[in-house]
Amino acid sequence: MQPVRMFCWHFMAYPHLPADFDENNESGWVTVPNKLWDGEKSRGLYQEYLGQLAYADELGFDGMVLNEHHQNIYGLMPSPNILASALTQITKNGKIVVLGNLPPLYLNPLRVAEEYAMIDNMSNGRLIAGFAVGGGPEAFNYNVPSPQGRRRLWEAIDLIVKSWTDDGPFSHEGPCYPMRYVNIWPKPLQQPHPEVWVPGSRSVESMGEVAKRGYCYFLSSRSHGGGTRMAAKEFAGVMEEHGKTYTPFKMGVLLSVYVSETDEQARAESQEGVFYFLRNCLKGHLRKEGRSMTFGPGVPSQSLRSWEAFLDSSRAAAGGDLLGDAKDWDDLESKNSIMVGSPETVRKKLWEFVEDAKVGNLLIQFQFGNMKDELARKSMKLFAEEVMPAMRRDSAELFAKDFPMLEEMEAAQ
Amino acid sequence: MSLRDLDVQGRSVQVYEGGSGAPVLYLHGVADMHGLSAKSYAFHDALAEKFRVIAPAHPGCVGSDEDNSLESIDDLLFHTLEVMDALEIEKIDVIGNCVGGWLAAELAVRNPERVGNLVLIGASGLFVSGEPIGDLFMAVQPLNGKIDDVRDMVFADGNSDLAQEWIPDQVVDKEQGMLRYKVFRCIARFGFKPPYFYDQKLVDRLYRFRGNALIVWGGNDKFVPVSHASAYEDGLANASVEIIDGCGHAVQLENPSAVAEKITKFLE
Repeated sequence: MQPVRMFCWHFMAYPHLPADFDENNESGWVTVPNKLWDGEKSRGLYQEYLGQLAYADELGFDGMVLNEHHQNIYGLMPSPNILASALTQITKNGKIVVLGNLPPLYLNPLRVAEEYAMIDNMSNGRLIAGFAVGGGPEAFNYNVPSPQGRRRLWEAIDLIVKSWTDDGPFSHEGPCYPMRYVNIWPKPLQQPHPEVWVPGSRSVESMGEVAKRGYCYFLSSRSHGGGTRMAAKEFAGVMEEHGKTYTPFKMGVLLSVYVSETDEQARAESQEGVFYFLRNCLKGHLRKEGRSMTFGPGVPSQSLRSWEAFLDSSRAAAGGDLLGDAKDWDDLESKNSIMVGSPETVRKKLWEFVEDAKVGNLLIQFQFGNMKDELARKSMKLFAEEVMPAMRRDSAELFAKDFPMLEEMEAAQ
Repeated sequence: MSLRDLDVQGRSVQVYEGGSGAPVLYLHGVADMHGLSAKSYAFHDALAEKFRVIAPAHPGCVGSDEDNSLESIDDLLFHTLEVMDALEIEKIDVIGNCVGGWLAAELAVRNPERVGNLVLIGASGLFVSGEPIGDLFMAVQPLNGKIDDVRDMVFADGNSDLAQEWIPDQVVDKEQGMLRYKVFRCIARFGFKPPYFYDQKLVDRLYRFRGNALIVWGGNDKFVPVSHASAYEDGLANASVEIIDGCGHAVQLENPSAVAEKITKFLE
């Protein structure tokens, strides 16, 4: 029986900001002055980050996760496909999850179809193809009006998948991307096509679009209280409405973990990196302080109906406290966003989460902000050796009990 | 005063009508009725003393249906022509404010036979080199939880009670929160991507409107610089400009009686 899948997520943050960055800059996004880029200090940075992902593959993670962000210090991956193609050559087993490309930013989504097909071939069929609409900063960076983002996203996804599965040349009518000749070379290796993942933030529309196509829904929230369990339930319900069967592997979440020998040591070692990440990288995105571009007027791509639900929700009522606003470790713990501690502590917390939410794809960030290479690697190793085996054993049992149809589905494969 | 829902090719459009006298079509902006406010205010009330003011809400604003096919000022223009058809308006005096001013100017150059007199208040729509229209979208992104930047852009004095009342930092009631979301979502459809609230070709087409035009501008407009008033004046065949000193982009909120008086004098 398939146990919970654990992936190693990387943002590839810029780690060389001055100590007074937070005092002197309103955002780590869009307008963050790029004179702060230090070329000499950054020599070897991509190699270091790619090395960590290759290490995750050696340690037996189910895959490595990349993502696309522009003009920011949060994630130095304006083109995740370039890094994915590097991973095809330095990893062997794990899935290469690109979560995702942002098709609304492109004039022609076939470029994404082609590059993903290349990566799938270069990796011997290890690609998981993610597609996202992009957040507020991306709207500013690439002049994409958010109300149109979703329409473009879904037309692009459908066109890309069709370009993989249907024989070309065929024509596509639009309206966003009319195309006379769709006929990509190469086609992807995986049949009928690589797994498709799409992130969402619990809006009913996104869940519906993902569910009716039977894709995997990635919950983009970073706080994991009861909301994650609720989201999983909602998504299972929406899948059922569309005549599809929900399994834990139809959903993914982003978690953050740091493991060390003891709880005290874990906090002490990760303190600098974690708070660099919260204070600097999340400034302009998931932090009230600074110029927040994520929930401002004119920017969110949610429908009127979803925005109304947001205004009704506790998130808005609570004044919209965000992850980057966490004051200290206790505050972070209460949001259940970052699990830090000894292997035993992390195992316990993670199991509580899996048992509660029953989500089958755990995308786990191990490297935070300016965290040193050796610390990130140590944490990953301890996780792989002392947390992962128990998680796999226990989750296989749990899923077998709660999702008996999984056995039939696996047998059918 | 009345509010009603008009059927326009299957879409519902909320229309305000107030006052009596010669009819005028009012095309709204952001800090305006149908924009950040569901209600008319002193400026419209003053106009309604002399005219029958007819003001449709743009798609997605207040009670008007959204239109997902709206992607450009042309789309908004054709929508507005359909609204005029549904209202059985053949020819009418048109007042346009802010992005509604841009719409009014586009209407006047495309269908000059349907516009009597034209009034533009702080209208976007033109490209003036070195004098860019402000980035309203960035200004409205909260800085430390406050949106002073957008108040400063829209009002001459962003700290004034008026500015705080129209654009508060924290939206407490849901209705207000939805209005704000709706109007920014509407204008993002045609103003977020380039060209940023302008039509590069409009200036060379302005000559097509041969009627009389009045251009009213706040002397301290920080969203659409006052140089754009001169550009409109230069391009239009018969235009005059009235600058209201001490006012910003929201001149019709900051000095409603002066703006209404100048318009009344011009239209009468």
